[in-house]
Amino acid sequence: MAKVCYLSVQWLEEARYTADNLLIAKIMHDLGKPLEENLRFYVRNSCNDSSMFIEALKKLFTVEIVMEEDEILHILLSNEDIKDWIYLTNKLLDTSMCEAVRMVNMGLEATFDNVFIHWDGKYSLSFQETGLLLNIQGSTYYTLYHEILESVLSFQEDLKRQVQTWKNYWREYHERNKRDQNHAS
Amino acid sequence: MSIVQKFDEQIANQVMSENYGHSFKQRMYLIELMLYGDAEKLGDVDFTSFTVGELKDTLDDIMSYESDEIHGYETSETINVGNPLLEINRLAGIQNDILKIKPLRMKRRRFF
Repeated sequence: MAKVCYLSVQWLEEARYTADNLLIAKIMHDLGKPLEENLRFYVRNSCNDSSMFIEALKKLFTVEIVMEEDEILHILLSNEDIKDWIYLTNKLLDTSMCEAVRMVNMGLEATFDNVFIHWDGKYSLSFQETGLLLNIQGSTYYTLYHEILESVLSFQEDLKRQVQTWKNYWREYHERNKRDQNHAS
Repeated sequence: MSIVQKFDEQIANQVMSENYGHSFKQRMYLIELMLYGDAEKLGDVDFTSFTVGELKDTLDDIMSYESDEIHGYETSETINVGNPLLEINRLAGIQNDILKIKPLRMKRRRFF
């Protein structure tokens, strides 16, 4: 029995992008934030511009700037946790806890720093004054966006935990300061 | 490894673990859904019928498939054996063979 469908390189690429899109949609569905039903996941003509990655990010964050240079994609993300974290780090850097906060901040950024499993490329995150900057480096031709989405989701969970912890520290620090001032007066 | 050996190994695996058979079936279902079916929009997909892991396995199958463009038709007989993409095409082959069989024509008797 012989094969009846001749699978060209281009067809396999389209199949790869299609599967990547469906994976993004499935991850978002399992998360309880499904994408719009009208979106097409099926990719034709080897076009990776039709990725649902940005749509998925828009469900999770406010996507403020999307900038594309030579093979580098910059996306600025922000949500409540990110704003809280930036506010907290700014406040805590003036206290005795500054080194610990700096280390946690570096740790958060470093855990996200990653390379693609299958292709030459990498992605990273860094905190800016206005939000979180996501850099995707490498040819978008080969990028599998569901890998980045999964990393972003696990990063989001880590960040949520850290924000909660440091909010408590900040509250304690604030109360202690207030008490000391009252005692002094 | 000959094609028969590979086939035997595959069957042995399927017999040994039911999970393997189930996962293979699911991968074929997903390939059919994504690439050969009518579904093009997210609204056409039942997201409860598969898991993320199964879809990732299917993506691996697509990635590991050696294109027919690179390997010649004759030489690629054993290359993609065991890949659900190839298996689904083989099934399509059966369907084509069935379609080839035409019902016998009823001969009309002519009376001169």
